[in-house]
Amino acid sequence: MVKKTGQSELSQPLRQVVADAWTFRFNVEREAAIRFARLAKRLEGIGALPTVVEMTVRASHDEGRHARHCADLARRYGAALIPEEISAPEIAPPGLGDRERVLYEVVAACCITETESTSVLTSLFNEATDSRMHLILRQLLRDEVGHSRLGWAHLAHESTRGDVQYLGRLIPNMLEVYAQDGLFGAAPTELDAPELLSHGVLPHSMKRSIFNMTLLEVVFPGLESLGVPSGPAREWLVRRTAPAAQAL
Amino acid sequence: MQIRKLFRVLVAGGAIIGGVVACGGSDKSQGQTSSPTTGGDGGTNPDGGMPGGGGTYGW
Repeated sequence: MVKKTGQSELSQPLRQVVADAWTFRFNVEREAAIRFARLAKRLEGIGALPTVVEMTVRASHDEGRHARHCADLARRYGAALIPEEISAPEIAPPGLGDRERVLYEVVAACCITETESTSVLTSLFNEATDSRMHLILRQLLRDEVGHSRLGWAHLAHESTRGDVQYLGRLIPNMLEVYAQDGLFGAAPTELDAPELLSHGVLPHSMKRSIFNMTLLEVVFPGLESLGVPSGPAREWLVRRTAPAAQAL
Repeated sequence: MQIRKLFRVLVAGGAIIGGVVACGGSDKSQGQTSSPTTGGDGGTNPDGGMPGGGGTYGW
């Protein structure tokens, strides 16, 4: 049931967790807006499908709007929100050609990150009890579906133009940011509180579970279906989810 | 929307935009391993001499 509630039932430590999460997302969305604006030009330059270029331009605008939503929510939970300088540098490894560099970044940003974000938003949307939160999450989810799709569309198109198998051994590099962000490590108790869910934040263990399931059910099969071997990424996931790795 | 449905919505939906029909889904690829052309090192020491590269943060 969707109802109109405030955030007063949260303890101060949990309120801070929620404020931090929406602040982090505020910066993520700002970075994504810059990245999509750059990628739109790069995609046009390499002769990508016009539809994909249009979707990427739209994605840049969407992310700017998302950043404003995240900022509103961060402030609602008490964040001071002092905007930092944001950049979105290219992430492809050296040694790739122009077309391959663009494809690498689109796969990382869309096929992986936006697909994972769609999965997270789906879970949050289903759990939202606050009417305003519900409305915002619905808008974000609708847009993120488009952002993920543009990546799969570009990968599909590129797979018809040449060999994309080389990406297989590079996928773990794209995934490693999630490990660096502490997803596979132990988290403080407050980060795993179930109360976070109705405030648009996944408890840590649930976030990890959804991340893994999305890789196994969506991303890896998607890559395989379009000619990108998922073996190295599957091996990376096994290593990262091993008990010894989680204890680090 | 369930996670299993996301394959159809995102991957298959995107592939159609890209002019390809994506086959498979959650029961495909399970247990598949690296193709002979890929290293099994998880990208940390690729055969082709292309170390590095990164990813992007999301939600």
